[in-house]
Amino acid sequence: MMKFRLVGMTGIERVADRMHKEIGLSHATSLRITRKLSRLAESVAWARPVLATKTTDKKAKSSVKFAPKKSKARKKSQGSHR
Amino acid sequence: MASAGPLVPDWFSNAHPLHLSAEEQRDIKDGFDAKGIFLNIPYSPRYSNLEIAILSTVTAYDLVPYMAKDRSSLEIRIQKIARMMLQCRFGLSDLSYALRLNMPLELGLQLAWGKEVFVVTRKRYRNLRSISDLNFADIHAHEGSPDKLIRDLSRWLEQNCSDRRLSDKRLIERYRRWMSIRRSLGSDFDRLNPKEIAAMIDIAKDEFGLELPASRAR
Repeated sequence: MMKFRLVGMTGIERVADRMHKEIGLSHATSLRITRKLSRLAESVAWARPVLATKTTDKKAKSSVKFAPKKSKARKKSQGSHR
Repeated sequence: MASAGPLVPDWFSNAHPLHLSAEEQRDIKDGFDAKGIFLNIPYSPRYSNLEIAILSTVTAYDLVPYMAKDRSSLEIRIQKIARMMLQCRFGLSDLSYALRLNMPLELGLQLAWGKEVFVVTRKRYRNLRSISDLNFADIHAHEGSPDKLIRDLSRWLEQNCSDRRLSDKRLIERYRRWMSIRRSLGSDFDRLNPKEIAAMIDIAKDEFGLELPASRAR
């Protein structure tokens, strides 16, 4: 069965943040433990597959930069040639 | 398994090492945990596998383990241990390390305060030679084997602490998975207290699908 890892740093950070809030561990310890648990989940057969979760962090969402659409960029460059 | 209220010794004079202030007495009453089990066990790397066997088994029966593991605070250790014992309904004492007399002392306190205690040692009858007054009790012997400790402890828990019935196979598999988590976390695991470990394992189950047999669905 295929397994999914939490996507990128946002997933790991979200779990680490949960660990920090619910258990009261320091940020650094929470992050270290979360990374180790994530690696363990990838390596053992008894870990249930978990779907990658999207971030709920608004800041993380707003910081995503989108590339300009290809069609517009092409039109502009074509115009400059004329 | 009738629920017993907390015994709070309020008769100790101010000069007594286990004297409890009015505030401490109130904290014990308010914080009494009917599912709490005080673990009077050695804190040693050699004992680490048996410690995991105990933690994985008692949590499978929804008990909350308490240990006086952290030594960072300046308070007197025996006072802290006494308060923890009084807040727990149950106890577990391992007398394997015959040269450390802290364990028999703490077992004596647990028995005197009416706690239901699981007493275990490494070799059968060895401790009875030095504490013959314990002859009345059923002392279990783990012989250094986590599997044997799990089997004996689960029988005792089912008789004295819980209505749950769990097979040895599931409990031993649960122990093996706890050991995997312990190995992968290394020293980070050893720095956590039992409550923090239980909470961390719940999160690991939720977020990474690290399933442990005999866990109750939340």
